[in-house]
Amino acid sequence: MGFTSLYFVAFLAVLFPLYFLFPKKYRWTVLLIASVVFYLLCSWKSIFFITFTSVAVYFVSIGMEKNKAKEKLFIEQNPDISKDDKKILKAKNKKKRKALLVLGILSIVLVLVVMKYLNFLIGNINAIFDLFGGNFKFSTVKWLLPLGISFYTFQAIAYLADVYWGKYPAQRNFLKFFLFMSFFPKIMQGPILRYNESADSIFEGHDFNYDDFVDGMKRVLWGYFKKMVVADCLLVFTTYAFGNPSEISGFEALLVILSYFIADYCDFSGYMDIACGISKCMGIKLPENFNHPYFAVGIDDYWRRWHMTLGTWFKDYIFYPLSISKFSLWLGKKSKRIFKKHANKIPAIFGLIIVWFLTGLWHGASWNYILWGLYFGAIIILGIIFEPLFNWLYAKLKINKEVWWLKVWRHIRTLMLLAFGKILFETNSLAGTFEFLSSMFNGVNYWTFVVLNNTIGYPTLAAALACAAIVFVIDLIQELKPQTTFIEKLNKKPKVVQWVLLIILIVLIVWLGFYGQGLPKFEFGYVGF
Amino acid sequence: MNTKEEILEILQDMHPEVDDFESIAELVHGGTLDSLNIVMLIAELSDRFDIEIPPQEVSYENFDTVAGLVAMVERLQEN
Repeated sequence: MGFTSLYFVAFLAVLFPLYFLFPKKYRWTVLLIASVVFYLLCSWKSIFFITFTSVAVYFVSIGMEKNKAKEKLFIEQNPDISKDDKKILKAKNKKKRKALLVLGILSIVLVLVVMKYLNFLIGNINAIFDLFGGNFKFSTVKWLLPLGISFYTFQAIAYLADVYWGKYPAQRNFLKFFLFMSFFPKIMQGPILRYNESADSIFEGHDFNYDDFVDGMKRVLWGYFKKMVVADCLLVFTTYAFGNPSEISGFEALLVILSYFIADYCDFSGYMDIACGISKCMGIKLPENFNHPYFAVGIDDYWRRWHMTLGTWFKDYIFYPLSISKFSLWLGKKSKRIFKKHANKIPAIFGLIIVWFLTGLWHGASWNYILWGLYFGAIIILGIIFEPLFNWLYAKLKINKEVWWLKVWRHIRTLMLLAFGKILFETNSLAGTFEFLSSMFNGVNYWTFVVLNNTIGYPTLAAALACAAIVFVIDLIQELKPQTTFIEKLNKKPKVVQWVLLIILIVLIVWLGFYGQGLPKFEFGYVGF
Repeated sequence: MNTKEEILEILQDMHPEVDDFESIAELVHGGTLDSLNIVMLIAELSDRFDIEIPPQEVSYENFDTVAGLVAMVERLQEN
């Protein structure tokens, strides 16, 4: 049962009244049951894995907290303890808590590695055997990828680290903790929640609020529009084209890239609109995951706007701990002899290399995804290294960095670098990427659109692009006037205008969307991560 | 040179174009300090004040203002 199925609409139709009919104190139990039912209906076999992760994290977090409480109690009961003894006691207990943290993280990461990366590891081991002329080969395994495993594992790691750091107390009610882990709107592809930012909003029983409910439904409709009317149509065309780069030529390749930019954004951000919209209907606030990424002025800026909760997760739980670790700071000090005053950037560069390696690996268990991650990492690192040189050049040439043509160039440069990254992601190899890029120049007739004709055809493409233009205009307005959300802007219009626009939106979803077209259905892009 | 003056000196080296760091209410939120600057700042603070800054100290509370930075350094020096 995906978000775009009619069963899901029926599921919501049952859930909303149930949620508001239940006593306020127990409304979270409705969400828990709904989340379990949703999870079972989507992938019942996966429930074992999310339960294991939740149980492991729950007990480890309680264990760490109990240790801390015991330490505090001992110090309170023994006020005469010397400063040195107190230091030794604290260090000893910290070691125990660290051991628990490592145990907790390793146990849940092990599940992720076995379920998602085992075949990748086996493939690499076999390749090494091949290299040395060995005949032995491990056989790969065929088992399911638990639904949302990458997302809930990251959420669990953040929770464990925060409890270890003492940012907030551990949740003592297992069922509430399980709800935080499995909350159905975000389970398939995020956003990756932080316990201290979202848990209370999920657990609290919210009163029915007409404005919130209507605003939530508007956002859900907007998400369906992006996914079903725009993304799904274009994905038919782009999926075939990326799979068969030799069949496309000339400008058709450019059209594929443009279509993929739109489809990728509308698919992922459409999901987020639906997830945030459903939550808003019940008064729950989820963090935003997108901030008009295609208006970014650099690759680093783009990654602060695209899949934001993944980016901040990597920053807080990988980048900072690695970059400011003793080893990293030592590396910075040692490299002063070679890099002089620029050596102070070494710790951050070390952290970035690991972060982007892991970002690639997170997106998929194969080397091309790792290459894809490192590609973005390399651009960001080169930007850091050459920034002083560019600043010197601007000063020498007396160019104002904020001049309009430089701003325009930064946007174009970002989109071109992104295009290469997106082709690398979709074609699954560097060779495939270059084959795709060369197809732009090897067509005899640059204006033949064979793949387009054989997949969705001109009228559907025109309709999808026209609808994408609406998305673009709305995002542009938001980019220029970010003080209020687009729904808040819409709410200021007369009621008649609002309803007319909503009815048009519903008609477009039904008429041009999946149900009206008969085109193949696409799962959301990040499901299966 | 006291803690505040040393911190201001480090910040000034990092961003010579900024006139008055103390008048900036949100160094991180406002975009003056990005994650690269924060790591560079931590490396410098660890070195100069002989302190260890663990990851949980990287927060807006500690890094958004000069006062927050001073308070963090002094607290870590005491521990």
